[in-house]
Amino acid sequence: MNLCLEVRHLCQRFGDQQILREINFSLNQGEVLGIIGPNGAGKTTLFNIIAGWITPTRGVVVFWGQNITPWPPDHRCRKGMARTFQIPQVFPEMSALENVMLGAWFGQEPPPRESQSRERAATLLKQVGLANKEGIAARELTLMQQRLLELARALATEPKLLLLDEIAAGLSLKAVSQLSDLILRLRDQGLTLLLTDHLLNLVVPVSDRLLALDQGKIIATGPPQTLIQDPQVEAAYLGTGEAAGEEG
Amino acid sequence: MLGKLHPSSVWALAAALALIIWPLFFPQASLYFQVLGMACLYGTLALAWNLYALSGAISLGHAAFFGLGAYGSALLSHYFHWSPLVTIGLGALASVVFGFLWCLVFRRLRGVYLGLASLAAVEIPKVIIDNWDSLTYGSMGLMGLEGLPSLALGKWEVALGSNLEAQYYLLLALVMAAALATRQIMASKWGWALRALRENETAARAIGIRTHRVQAKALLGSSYVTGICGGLYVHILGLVEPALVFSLHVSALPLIFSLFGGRTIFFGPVLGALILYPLEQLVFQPLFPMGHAGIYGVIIILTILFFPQGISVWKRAK
Repeated sequence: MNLCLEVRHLCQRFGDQQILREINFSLNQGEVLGIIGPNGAGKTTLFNIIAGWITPTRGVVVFWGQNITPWPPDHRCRKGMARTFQIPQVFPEMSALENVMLGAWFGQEPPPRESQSRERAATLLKQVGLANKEGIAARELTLMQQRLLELARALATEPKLLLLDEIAAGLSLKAVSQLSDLILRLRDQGLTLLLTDHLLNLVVPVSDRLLALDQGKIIATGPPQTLIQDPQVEAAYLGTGEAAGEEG
Repeated sequence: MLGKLHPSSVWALAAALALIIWPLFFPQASLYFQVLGMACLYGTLALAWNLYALSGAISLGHAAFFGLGAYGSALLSHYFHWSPLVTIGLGALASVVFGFLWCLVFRRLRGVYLGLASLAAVEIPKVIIDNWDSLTYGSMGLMGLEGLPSLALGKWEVALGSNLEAQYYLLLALVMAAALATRQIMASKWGWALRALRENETAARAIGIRTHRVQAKALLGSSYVTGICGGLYVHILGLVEPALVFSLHVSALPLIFSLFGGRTIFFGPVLGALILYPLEQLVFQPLFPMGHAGIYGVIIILTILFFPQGISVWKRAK
């Protein structure tokens, strides 16, 4: 099995707050790894470190055998690591097609021609279900459409690893279900995926393996169906029986 | 051929033609040559300022580049007696060096912090030049600088320094070249990168755009053209002094012209300069000799309130 990503001894501290402690895991080519955990568990910080937005206090990130810890996000993208954001980051005044076209044009090495990038963008917009929104400015799209647009733009960079940060946050159950279908199709195409979400109805069906974080530590890892029944995960993430009783 | 052009480009072309041919009908209009010539110079300055602004950065310190280009050229001309055509090009390199330092020091600054830092940055070259009397003649400046030279082609000769019509055409050619270059840049891959950076820096970095490099290229190009404008300005006037070329006025004018004309259209800053500068010189100044500068303030407030994208974009949206 080819190792796509390795995270070794990762620690992150902001001031006197320890956000991540000794995070170690790896991800194989073609695998889908879901990172779950309650709010504040450190999922987004971990994501930001992997994608190059934060330099870790300690530890390394290895991508296809190369230590990429000092690489900035744009370099990581050109080398095959694309990401989406919890709050969609689009180019608001550009059309949907232009948004995706730029992903193809700037995110690949060697860069394709502009015309090729446009063609690729049109294909990807069709793939994510936004074919009829090509000429619409990104700011006019709904939250779900912006998420899909961001996903198409990330795919346009031809990534070897795609990071999806809370892609289902704020979406309806129907939209989450559509998104799961799309992610499953990407998985079937052999794309390596790392996704984080606190919505189990998205992460569980699409992941090959789950990793549970709590208070900056990995508390469990394993196949989705096994992991969500882990008492530690239930206590930290789903809430203990006592807590559920109190709520009820 | 015209059918393939965007309507805004057709308007720009028509305006350019009008600017080229009107002197044929009014050959004695020296005041208008002078005023419109300066408007073209300020239009070039505004385009240079806007090149950096296309990346989303708002500079309040372009007077530093203008002043350094002005002094670079003036001192080379004064000490080495080289032709202004050479010294203007070389002197502007001083602006590029300052631009390079700017890129290094202000790399992490954005928005209002960058604006304030750039405003303060003007003071550094100004204070140095103001106090280095042995080299720059301090706050007294340099008088009697060599004017623009004469150009000769066979029997045909034109004195750019004394012939206001020729000077007008030189500055018109400069602003047209700058506008065309801006148009090409905006349509290029670099132009798309600048636009992406302006719209969302986080997204731009996430798709692989080298944002720092893209912005640095814009600033270095902008600083060089601004330096050229500074050099031309002092050789046209025949004098240079710190208070003249490092003034807040020089930093503010390109911003005002660009905001008024429209920052996202290639000819927007030129349009702003060609409307506002002649208005100020020919209408506001004679009518309100004491408060004409305040009118710029009113114009900028009205622009931001009623057509924040500038009049060229407002016109296009209609």
